[in-house]
Amino acid sequence: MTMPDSAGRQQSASPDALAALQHQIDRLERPTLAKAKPGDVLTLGVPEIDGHLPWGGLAPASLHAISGAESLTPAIGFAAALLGRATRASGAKRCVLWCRRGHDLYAPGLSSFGLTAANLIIVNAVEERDLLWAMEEGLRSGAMDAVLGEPQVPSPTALRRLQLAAETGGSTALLLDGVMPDGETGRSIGAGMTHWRVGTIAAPVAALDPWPGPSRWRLELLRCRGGTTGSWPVDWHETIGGEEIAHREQIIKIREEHANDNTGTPSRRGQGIETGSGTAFGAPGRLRLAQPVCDGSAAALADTGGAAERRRAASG
Amino acid sequence: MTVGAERGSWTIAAVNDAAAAVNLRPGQALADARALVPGLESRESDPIAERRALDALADSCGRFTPWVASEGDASGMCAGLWLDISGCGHLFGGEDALLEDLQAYLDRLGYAHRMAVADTPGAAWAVARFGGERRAHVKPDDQLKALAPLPVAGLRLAPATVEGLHRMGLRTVGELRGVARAPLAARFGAGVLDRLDQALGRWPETITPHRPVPVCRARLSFAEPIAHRNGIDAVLDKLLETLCAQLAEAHEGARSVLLTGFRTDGTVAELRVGTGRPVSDPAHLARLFREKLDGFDPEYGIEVAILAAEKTDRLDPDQAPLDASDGQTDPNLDYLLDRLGNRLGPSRVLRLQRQARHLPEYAAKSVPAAEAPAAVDGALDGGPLASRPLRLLPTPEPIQVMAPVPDHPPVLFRWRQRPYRVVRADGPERIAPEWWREDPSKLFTGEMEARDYYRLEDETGARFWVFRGGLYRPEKVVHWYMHGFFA
Repeated sequence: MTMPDSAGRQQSASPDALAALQHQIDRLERPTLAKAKPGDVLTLGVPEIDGHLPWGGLAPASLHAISGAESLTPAIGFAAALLGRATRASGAKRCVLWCRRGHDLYAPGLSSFGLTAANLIIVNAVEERDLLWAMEEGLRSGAMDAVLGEPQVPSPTALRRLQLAAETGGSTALLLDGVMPDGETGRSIGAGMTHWRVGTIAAPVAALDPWPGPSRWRLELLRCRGGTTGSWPVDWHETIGGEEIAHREQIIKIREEHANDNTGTPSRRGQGIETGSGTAFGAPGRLRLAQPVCDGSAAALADTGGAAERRRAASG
Repeated sequence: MTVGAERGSWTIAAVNDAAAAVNLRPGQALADARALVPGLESRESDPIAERRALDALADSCGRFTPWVASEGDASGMCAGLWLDISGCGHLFGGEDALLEDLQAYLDRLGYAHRMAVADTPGAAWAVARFGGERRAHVKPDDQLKALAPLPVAGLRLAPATVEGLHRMGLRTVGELRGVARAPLAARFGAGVLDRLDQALGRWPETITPHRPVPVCRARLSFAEPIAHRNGIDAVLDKLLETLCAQLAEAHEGARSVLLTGFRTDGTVAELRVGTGRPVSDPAHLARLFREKLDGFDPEYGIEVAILAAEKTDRLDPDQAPLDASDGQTDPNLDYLLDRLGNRLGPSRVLRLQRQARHLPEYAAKSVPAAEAPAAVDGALDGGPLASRPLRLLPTPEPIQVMAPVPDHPPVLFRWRQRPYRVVRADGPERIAPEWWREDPSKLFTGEMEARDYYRLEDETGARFWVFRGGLYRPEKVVHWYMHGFFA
């Protein structure tokens, strides 16, 4: 008599019970992390990668390290893309903090990542001590959605402090961890929840279209607490005039549309997306899993032929 | 006694009381003085150090009044300080008590001094220097009586004018006052009459104080000097409470607050904090001060502490918003920016603002985060119409380039001693120089040239932004530059 009833309850309750157990484990492991809501998870916007990560994205209120493979620039790009996603995720009029030493960041380039004067604060530290202090303050205050820092030689203590500060303030901490060539370990390996390495991928030689297309990165997940490693080729689709660019023709079209605009920037007409705060700005670019290169040489050749034809048409 | 070189000989610049007692006067030659007083000790005068000492004394007199001006040639006999003590007497129990305090203070520091209080700066100046008393107090509206027996030099006149007046038989201010004004003005110019009127209070005189007078200030003095951090913390809390109450009453908020501690030895310890927006919350300011209190050294102890709001802005009382998410900036964020700015310096906490300019290096500028309004020009927020790099070199760096034909993107380039083979290239994007900002004739002389920008991708997939300066011309060598990096 009671058997079917209890069995039925067992069936319906099992996912809840599982979630509760998971929650309990989390609480035991990281007390502050357990407070985070699913919405706080910083996703990459690429379903394949987000699905691979145990939290469905980057774990909230914790430290994540990013290294470059050959040069730091793609890693900076990936970090900027994450920061851009962090400000959009929160919706409110909040900021992200970028603590660094150099000053070569370029505002027009950053705006394609969704980082503008309204939501990006840059700390230009002279000394390592100040840089780590600024990162910690930013994390602990809870006023920042994410804090990105480029310390030179972070000590294990400093990394631990950053992790604790991130937990206290509930913000995501990103660490740009320098260049890490193949076979070497990063300086901050072992710290934080995930460790990424970002490198560029050489353009496929078959594609003779002069337009370089979206930036292509090899995204390697070297370490992931509670998950497995992985590697994905991704494309960074930047936006021009507020539109995501997939073809060269699109750029030409947009430029023609704005030909009469003498400020060199698009008019409001070209902007589609609104953020939560209601400030209209151009849709930032986004990450996509790279599509396999069309290996048929016929297709590539046809494309080249098209490009040549277009050039002829333009010159004629 | 100090001496200074004047017209090729050593001349007495200033004398102390002992030297004055044996009839030595500034202006005498040192050789004459040595003849009069064998074994005379003298030091070379150091006008810069003397000026500095006078300024430091002016700073430390800030404990009596916020309005202090230093006056006169610091090395001469007439070096002095003006203190505007209107409204300050009650803090000390009357003006006489203030004078007594000031006198005791200067005695302790070892400065020989004379002082006078009067309604006008001119009268005080004359009485202090020529009145003969160490401490004089001219009664209100009594300047004429006090000044009449004093020599005309007491009116701060040029030596030539004083000599001229003496030749006319006018030796005292009283005599000068008795003569007809018109001939006097005709003979010596309006200066004499102006000084007379200013001293008597018939003509206003403006003197610029040594430091700007703060809008609001709070002051505490202590029976025993405090040197301990706990004591300073408590004092700071009390001062902040008083100051913020004043600010709130005036509907003002502080943008810059200066804490001044007057040490027992006459020196001054200062600590300044700035805020990004007007603040009248004592807790916020207290936290900003606490960060920096380590740099506030009381040494042997602080006798008087003054907290002054140097810069204020209008701050209307807050009205609690019904909807918390209506675009108000997060006070937490403001506080964070203030802390970062106070420790690292405001110019190190930045926002990158875009500008409507074509030349890439001018298309962005960094502004202090505390000053920049969070809202930016919406027209610039749409993103550029062409790809722009994530990183831009501060100055373009020359590269050596190989291109198959002119006007073709490079196939190989060398940057910082390393060759790069170009796989794909996009361009050119021609960016014209800003001839409307500079002399347009430079366009023809070649000082300003258009740039052709190319996006290059090398074998590894790294992307560069390079440009060629100027157009190809048969007789001209073109230069290529590396300017930025795409992610």
